[in-house]
Amino acid sequence: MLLIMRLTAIFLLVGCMTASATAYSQKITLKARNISLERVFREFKRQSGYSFVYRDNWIREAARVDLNLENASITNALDACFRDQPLTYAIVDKTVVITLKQPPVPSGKIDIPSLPQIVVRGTVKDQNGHPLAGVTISLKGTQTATATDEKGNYTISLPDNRGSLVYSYIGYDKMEKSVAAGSEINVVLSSNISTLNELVTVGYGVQKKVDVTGAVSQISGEEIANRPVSNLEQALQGAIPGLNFLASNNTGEPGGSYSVNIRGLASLSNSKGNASYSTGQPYILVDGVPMDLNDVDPNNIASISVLKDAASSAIYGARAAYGVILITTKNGKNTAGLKVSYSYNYAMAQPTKFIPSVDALTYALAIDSAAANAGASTMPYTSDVIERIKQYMKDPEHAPSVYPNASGTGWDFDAVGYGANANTDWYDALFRKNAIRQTHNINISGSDGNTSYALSAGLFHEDGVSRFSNDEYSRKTLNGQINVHPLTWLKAALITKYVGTHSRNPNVLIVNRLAPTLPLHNPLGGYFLNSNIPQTMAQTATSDAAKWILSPSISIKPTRNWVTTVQYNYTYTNSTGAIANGTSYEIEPDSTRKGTNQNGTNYSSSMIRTIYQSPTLTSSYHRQVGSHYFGALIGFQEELETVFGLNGKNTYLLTDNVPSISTAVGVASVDDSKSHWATQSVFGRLNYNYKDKYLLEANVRRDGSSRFAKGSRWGTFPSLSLGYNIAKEAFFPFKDKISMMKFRFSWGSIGNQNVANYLYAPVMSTGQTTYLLGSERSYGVNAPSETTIGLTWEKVNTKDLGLDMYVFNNKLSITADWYQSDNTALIGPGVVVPEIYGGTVPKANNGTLRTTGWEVQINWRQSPGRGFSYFANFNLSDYKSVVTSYNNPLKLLSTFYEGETIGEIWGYKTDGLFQSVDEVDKRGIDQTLFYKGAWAPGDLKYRDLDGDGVITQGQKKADDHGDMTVIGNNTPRYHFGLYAGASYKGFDLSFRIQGVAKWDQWPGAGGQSSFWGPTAGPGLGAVVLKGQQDFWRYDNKDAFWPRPYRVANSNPRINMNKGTSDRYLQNRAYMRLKALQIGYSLPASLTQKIQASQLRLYFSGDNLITRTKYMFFDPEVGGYDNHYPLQKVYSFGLNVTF
Amino acid sequence: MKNLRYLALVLIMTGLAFGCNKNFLDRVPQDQISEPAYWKTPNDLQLYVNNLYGRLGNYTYTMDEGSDNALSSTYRSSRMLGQVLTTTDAIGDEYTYIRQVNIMITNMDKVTDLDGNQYKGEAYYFRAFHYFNILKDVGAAQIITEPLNADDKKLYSTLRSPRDSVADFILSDLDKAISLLKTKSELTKTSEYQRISKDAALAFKSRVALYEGSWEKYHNGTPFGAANADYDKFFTSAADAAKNLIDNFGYRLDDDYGSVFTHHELSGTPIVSKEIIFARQFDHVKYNATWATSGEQMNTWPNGIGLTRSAIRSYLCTDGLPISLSPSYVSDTSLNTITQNRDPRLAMTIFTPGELWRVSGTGDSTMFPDAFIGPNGGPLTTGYVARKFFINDAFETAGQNRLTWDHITVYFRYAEVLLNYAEAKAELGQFNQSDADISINQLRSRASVHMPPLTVGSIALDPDWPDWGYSPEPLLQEIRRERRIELIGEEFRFDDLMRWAAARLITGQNYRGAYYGSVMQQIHGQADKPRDEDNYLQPFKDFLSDGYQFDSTRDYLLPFPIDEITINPNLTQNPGW
Repeated sequence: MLLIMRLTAIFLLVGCMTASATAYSQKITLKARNISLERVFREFKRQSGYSFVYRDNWIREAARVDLNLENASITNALDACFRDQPLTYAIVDKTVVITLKQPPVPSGKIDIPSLPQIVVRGTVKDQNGHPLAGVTISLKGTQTATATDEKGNYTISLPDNRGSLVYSYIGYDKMEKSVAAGSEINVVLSSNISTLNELVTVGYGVQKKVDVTGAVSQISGEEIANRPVSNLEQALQGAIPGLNFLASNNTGEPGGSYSVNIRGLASLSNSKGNASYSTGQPYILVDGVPMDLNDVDPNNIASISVLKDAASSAIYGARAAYGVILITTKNGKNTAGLKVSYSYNYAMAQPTKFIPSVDALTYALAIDSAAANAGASTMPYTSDVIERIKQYMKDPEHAPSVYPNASGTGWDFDAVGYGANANTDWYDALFRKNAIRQTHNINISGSDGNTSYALSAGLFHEDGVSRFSNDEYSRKTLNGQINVHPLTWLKAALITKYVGTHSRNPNVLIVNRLAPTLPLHNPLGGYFLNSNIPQTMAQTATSDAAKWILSPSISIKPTRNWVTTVQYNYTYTNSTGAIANGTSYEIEPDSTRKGTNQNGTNYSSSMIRTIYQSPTLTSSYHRQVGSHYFGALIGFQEELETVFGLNGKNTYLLTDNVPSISTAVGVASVDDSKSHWATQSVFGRLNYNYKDKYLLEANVRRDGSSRFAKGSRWGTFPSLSLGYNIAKEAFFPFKDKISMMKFRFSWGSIGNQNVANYLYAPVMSTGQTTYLLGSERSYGVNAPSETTIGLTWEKVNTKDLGLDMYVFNNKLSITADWYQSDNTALIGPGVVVPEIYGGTVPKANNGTLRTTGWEVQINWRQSPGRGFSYFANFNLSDYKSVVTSYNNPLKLLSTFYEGETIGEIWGYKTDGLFQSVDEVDKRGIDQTLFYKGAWAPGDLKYRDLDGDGVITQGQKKADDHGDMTVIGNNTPRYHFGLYAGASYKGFDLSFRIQGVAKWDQWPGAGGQSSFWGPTAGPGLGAVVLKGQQDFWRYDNKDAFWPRPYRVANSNPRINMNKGTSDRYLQNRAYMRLKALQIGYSLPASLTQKIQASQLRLYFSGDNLITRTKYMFFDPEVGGYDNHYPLQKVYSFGLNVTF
Repeated sequence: MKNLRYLALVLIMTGLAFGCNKNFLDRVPQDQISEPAYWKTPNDLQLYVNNLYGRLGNYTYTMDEGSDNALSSTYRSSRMLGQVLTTTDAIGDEYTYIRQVNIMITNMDKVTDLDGNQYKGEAYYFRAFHYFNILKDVGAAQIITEPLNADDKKLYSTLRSPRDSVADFILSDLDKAISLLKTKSELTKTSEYQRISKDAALAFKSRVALYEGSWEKYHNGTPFGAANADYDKFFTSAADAAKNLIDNFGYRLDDDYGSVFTHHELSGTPIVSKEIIFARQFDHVKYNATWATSGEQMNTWPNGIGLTRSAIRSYLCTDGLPISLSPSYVSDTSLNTITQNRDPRLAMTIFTPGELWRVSGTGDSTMFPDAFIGPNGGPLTTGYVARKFFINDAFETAGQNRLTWDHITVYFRYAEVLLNYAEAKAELGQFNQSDADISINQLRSRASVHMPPLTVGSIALDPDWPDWGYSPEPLLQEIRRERRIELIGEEFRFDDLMRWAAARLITGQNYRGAYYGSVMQQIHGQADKPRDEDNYLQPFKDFLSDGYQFDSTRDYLLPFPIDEITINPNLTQNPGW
């Protein structure tokens, strides 16, 4: 490492001495031979401050020039350049617009210069109504041309009113207008994002899209702005093929997050049996700083770039094994002068789906029949209570919903609500339909001479839809960026960010597991403890996090080809959490209070401080020699993260109003946690291309991680990618239709160190035991952890074949990729060993996982004119992971085995339900695996696949599995997204549809699962949703659900019909209208009155329509248990720019 | 050259940023102890062994539910039902704990300070404890005495040792424990008196040896027995250990049978009992809210569990005769009179109407309300509500559902030692009157019991003696009766039935509860309780029309985990599975 430092120092020195500082001047001095125009323009720009606008290919194809200029004026200098070129220029303000010279007029005619006859004026704007400066306007077939000024206005003098004007501007579709149209011609040009010069953010730099050889997708911030979402994850869902988001039970909570993966890239971590599969978290960099997606204000994003294959992410090494997401926030670099924009959104949210429950009477009868089936002697709902339910349902105003019990000291119902006789729809009672969200974002950016700056502030606040938990989430973000360019060879930048989040989390409400007979309100006031509402209301669980980021950087550029940058990232995160459980009670019929008194109250508080420090040094050089382009980059990076946590707890709060450790007088406890990890890396990159036709990129990175023992600490990870743009070949026959057709191939290897710290050290954790010795719970030391031996980097080797195309004047763009990733030396649980080992088998590099997938993105964008333009972006992707090797020689199904498709669900085929006692007696298949007692009509018939007359699991091995077979797969397949929109005059409309085409889920056999309805057993599981009353009875023999048994969880009957079976396997595939936005931009004539350049009003909705076959619940969450619902959101907002 | 200062700035920044540290990647844990630094002092041993105490068992008494003594409201015991699934993992986590102990036993002799002996003894005790759990469930077991690496061949070459070798191994660990541990009277510090003592190890030894001796004797010649069984060796060992405790350790029975289990001294205060050898204390303050489950359990006491009629009928009358013979027996058709003229331990074991049920924090007393309604209105299965273990004066405030008292769980008490001694001596055929006087008759002459003594040689023949499937001599019948009564609810009964090969008391049985006469029906207004032809409650009459299907050719042991046999096909399965 020291060696590298010295080398760097040396070439920094060399670089600096060749540089010289020059201030701007209007006069240009340049002496050079055989110099490219591109270089000339850069030099002109450096000396004069003039900007140049041109098409790259014109300039690259232009002849090199010899110049001998001394204090020449800009026009003289330009004339010298263009003398022998097929190009000409126009100067607008300080911008030089370069256009093609038109062919000379045929010589047969005599060209008589004539005085201009007419003058045409007008304004050129973009689709959003912003004036475009520097648009070239030429009379078709002549050299007559002009350009628009800053306000988009132009004036052109023409010989007569014949012919047509051509409006052209880089990044926009060309437009033609007949001169006959009048003396004022106003034009709206539609931008063509997919132009050849589109820039794509890649590792440590930007690249033109045509030159990219890896699998990189990029979208602009516009595509995700103005959505009523709490975080970026929600906005990105479905936007980029291969970037997948999966919801969990908590995703719907205020501020809740999704799990993110790129291309399903995965690791085997914790447990299937004792092993599990988890998709890896991509490495997310915001302006070069590692952050969470949730820390970014979705409205402050300029662009998001996703590096999907190993070759493009390899440069980030150690933490990039699961792909990289690069986010660029809005900065002032491309804004002339000052720009202020503000946006606001007001939204109302409600659960996507209200889970329908049957009414109390249907419920009681269903539960009773389940009890009768189980042979119960007494019914949970006696005939008296059923009568009361009927009374109540007939006249809820006057009939009591609940009665006191015999002794009068309590209410007459049990833990779930049996015995009471109300008729409550719990989902409806617990969730509300109008939770408010508000978003503000203000952005001030601009540039002035050598300085550009951007300041933005965002504020988001969200209320939860849970009616009683008073939950909320808010996020404040502040971003500051300042770039200064004091000398031609020196740049300095400072990025500062602050993210502050606050959330009040809901208690876990017993959603949907309460009997409808339990009343919502206690007739004596308040709520019942059974409903969990008092406990929820008594709990305050807050968490606050503040993140401060400082990222200064300095670049020196001794020559225009060589840049060296030092960037230092410092992130300080302070998270605090507090949970107060106050008193909660219900009022009994005798007016006593039952519940938690002060003695049961407690308060706990935690603080975690994380400091992340990472210096990065990069030095890059590039050079164009003739048609050969060379680029090289070397870099060095270190990371160090230290975490310190402190937790305290106390019981017995003196008052609920001021909960704290100090105001509690019970037994206080405190503990801390400390950990740290570090990495060190060196990396390098080489780029080469020939005429943008043959492209090559190679990376190598060497990483060291503190998470591995000395000796297995370092890994080297190379990658290579190639591109071939066949459209550049002379022989390519479709040049007029296809402007780019690039084949890409990449191969790369990245290391993954994503394991816990210190696995190689035998640590003995300490703690307080549950055993009292003397007057205190004793302290104890745990057995030393089983240490890993030689655990080292997991490697992800990825091959990617891709195709990028631009067709029909770039209106259509197509990107397709096929890839195969091999995770070798997987860090996973060790081999299954006999139980007598007695420990957790230490993690080992143990197996290979192969993920194969593909993705397609098709974008169409067109502006047919008359102010109308539209676009449609469609994407589709899929992947599948197979275990190609694993240390499980017996192929036990209890852990991963060779040949296993990740996500496969092992279960039983079924043959419907028994219909009669006779059928039970005669079937002759032994189902004692599930239940040893007598089976009855309405029970499930498991299919005897191996025909041996007994349902068995065999030896639970892949090649001896009895009657079990793979009945489905819980990996979501075929993710798709469609983002489309149109704009006409001031109106715009866009929508996004997102979904998954194939996805299975086994709802689980758990007695707590709402899926099973009355079959779930007693206790909290016994719900009856609409549809679940369709269980087997003699009068309902073609029922979907089996005969329900109301038995305790430990009863052997409980799971007899719940063996994993194809009959009850759920289809989670869905298609969802994720987002819809309709906007209207006020005409400039109106906005100018408030001195705004733009004012747009819009409606925006989320999760508006869903199509799925998934039963009862939201397919994205997939929960049949306690979960927080996802939300449907309606919102209104405005964007204003000054 | 003025640019050099900018360059210098960059270089300085670079240097500051990177601060080249050769050991940058060496990061060791900062909040956990690393093992190489451990095993130095007796304190290291103590901290390590402290962690093993948590395995001893918790605050829940299940009142012998899952035996012929008691029923819960659900017929939970899949073993008695004959419905244990072949996929059951009978060994569970035991080897995890054994590994933890083995790590200590392998390393503990690095500490040579004699102060470490107590903790070394505890380690042997815990290893014996976990192996005894395995022995009871699966019999023959794999004996592992050191922490093995995951790739050690011994994991596959270690096969199941015959059950008598396992028992020998357990007893040898207990002998080591006995030689190392301090006696209870030597554990004088406040922080020590809940530690395992030599006394506890001796009591445990008598329990294990008696278990194995009687198992081998009554299963002899069946697939469950041991080859060339030498059960007298184990009976002798059990009797010797018990006698040692009786003679040398100064234990006596407490006067009040009922209060042995309801101690709730504050933590830090020794339990005032001459009878308790080893018990665990719970303290609601120290355990704070998350550990308050003990109180909650007591609130819902007895959690739907009721005693069986058969257990109630086994109590003698105060004249020392069984109810089948005693003229003073009053019928059991009324709960009000059921304890009349009966062994006073009965009245201290079940509730009868009108007894104090609970006292609130405000001093309000509630009387035992009703045989069929539990504290939360739930049914009590058999009508016989357990009073043993129940602390009825500990409600903090009226209407609270979280109780806040301290209580104890008794692991060993002197009464069991006396019963172990009596049974082992009787099995050896060496039980004489003086043995009776130092054991059974101690229990009968307890101040609160005052039952007539057992006289060896003049035992009344009870026509109601249980049908064991064989005929033990009358003396042994009475010793077993005494054991059932004295230790009822303390979770001995199912183990006893297993070692006595008493399948007959389970298979085909459908236990009964209290008499459910017309008066009671009127009181409760519930005519639909299932009962037998004589009007005794029979909770599972409808579910178990043929009674429990315990299979005597299979269910004495649980299946050896089939996953283990899959991994190592050299392992054998238990009989019948």
